[in-house]
Amino acid sequence: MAFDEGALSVSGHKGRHAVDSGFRTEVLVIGSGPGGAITAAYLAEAGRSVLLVEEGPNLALESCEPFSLDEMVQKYRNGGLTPALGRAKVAYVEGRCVGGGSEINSGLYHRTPAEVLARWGSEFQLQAASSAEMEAHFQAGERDVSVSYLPGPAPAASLKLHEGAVKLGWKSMEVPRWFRHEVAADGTAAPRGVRQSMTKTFVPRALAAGARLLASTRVLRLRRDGGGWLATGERADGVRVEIRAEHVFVCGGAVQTPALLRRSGITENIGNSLQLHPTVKIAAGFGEEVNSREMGVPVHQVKQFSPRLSFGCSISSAPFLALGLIDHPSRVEAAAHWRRMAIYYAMITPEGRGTVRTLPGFRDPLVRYRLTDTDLRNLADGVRKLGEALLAAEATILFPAFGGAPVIRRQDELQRLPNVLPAARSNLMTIHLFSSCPMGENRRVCAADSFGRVFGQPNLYIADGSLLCTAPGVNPQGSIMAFARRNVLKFLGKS
Amino acid sequence: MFRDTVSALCHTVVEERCLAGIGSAAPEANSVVQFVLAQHARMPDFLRAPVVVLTLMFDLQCILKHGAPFRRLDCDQRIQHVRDWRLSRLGFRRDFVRLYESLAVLGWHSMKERCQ
Repeated sequence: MAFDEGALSVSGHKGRHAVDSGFRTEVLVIGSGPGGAITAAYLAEAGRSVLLVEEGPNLALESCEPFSLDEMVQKYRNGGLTPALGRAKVAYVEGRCVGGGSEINSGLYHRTPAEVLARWGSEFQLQAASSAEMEAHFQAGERDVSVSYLPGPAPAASLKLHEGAVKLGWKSMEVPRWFRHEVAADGTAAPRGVRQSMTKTFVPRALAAGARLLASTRVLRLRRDGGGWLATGERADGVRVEIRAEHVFVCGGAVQTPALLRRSGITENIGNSLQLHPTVKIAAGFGEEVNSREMGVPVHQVKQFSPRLSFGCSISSAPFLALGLIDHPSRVEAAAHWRRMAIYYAMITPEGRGTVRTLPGFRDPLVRYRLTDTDLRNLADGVRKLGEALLAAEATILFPAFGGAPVIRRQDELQRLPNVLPAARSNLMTIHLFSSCPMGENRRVCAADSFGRVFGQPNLYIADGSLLCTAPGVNPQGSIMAFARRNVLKFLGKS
Repeated sequence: MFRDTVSALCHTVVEERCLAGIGSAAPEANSVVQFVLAQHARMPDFLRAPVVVLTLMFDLQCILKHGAPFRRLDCDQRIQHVRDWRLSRLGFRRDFVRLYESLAVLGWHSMKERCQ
């Protein structure tokens, strides 16, 4: 059942100092993104008493247009204004609503690559996580969220990148999505459908199995309470909340999970090794229309240089295109031709790592990230190679999105691009964050054991992207879902 | 003073970067100002005060060069001041202009799309 916030019984008087201490549960799950929702669903279906707490509001997937200003305001943390600070700043976004990141991402699905799992096994001593051992977990996730390919042609802008890559002899592929599809409206649009986010899949499953959902409630601290835990926090209306639980799963994502644990005094290898997938973009113009209001999510990715570099097509609505041209102030008129334009990205699997720290007196955690010189060289190489593919696809003009970038019209002009992306003038962003609390048996670097149990803290678990040992080089939701299932089944004694 | 400076800055960005070649109905720049102010209130709490201080610096620095704060300058002078900061050798100035330009451009184009 989902609690109506207004119907909660509150002990004490109304107002800022009111305290609701009436919550007791066997298992408290903090965060309702892919890790938390899957954990809650499996626990509830196994008959456990589960309370699922989410800081953000409980909104339907359809409460706003995808990738719109309304979505930023309703569902993004801090309205989408969340920077990782460092020599090159990286803008990142996190979902802050029931369903977490699954409500706002593009829904492109990848399994964790086999070589990445092998590296995690050797470097982090992650046990029982080979490709063969993960197979059943990947299959279950793919079935549960309807991972599938488009039933019709891909959006024209997506196909353009694919065509360019194929002309160059590069490996390019359509990536499946967690999506239930309908039929396409026209040639520039993707077939419509419904993203199988957590509010469409695992959150209803958890509630149907008896889990309780407490939305708009932020857990501020965890404290040992006898053999269990006492979670203290506050509702959006300022009422303080106390929750007693035997077991706690922290699933707030790669930034909020370490922030909560560090606020609670749990710091061993917590928040020291954040990784992300920085992307740099190019707005490309073509001789024909490639874009429409119904374009949807592009599905092709170029994997010729993976894992070092991956290329894809971004959401290319007129507002995002205008934003993509921000580094070319003398070309503002280009945005008027948005139907002939699309945005493309080059993504790197970085060497650099970052930290998550709480600041005394402040609510929001400080995220810092250090891109290495190699990362900046790879980003520059990514811009050049992506430009090569787009020109091969007969793009007529390219606007690389970083300060001082030249406008490119011909292959030979790609030489004008720098060999190292200028850190101070870069314009990087990401939606993929992970690895802030890595799992494994290597106690020197890991925060939790191979199944997410926090070292030195009985009955305390992590189940989200924080656990991924390093950047997987692909969209991480498939990895997060598979490891959440694997770890909760271990907890239930079913693995 | 902060709100007035944000308002002047947003109007300048809209004038310079959004209105070129617009033939159809355009959104009210005041709606963009409201959006940008609301976004400032949403940003991480440790960044809000530094952004206010920087905004006031941006405003008052014009007194030395033009004899009046940014919010009291005419349109051409405002555009020049924004360009000076956009091309500055100091990273914090460039980041400051990028923040406001990004918000104003995204807000204006989103509202325009909604109008249509």
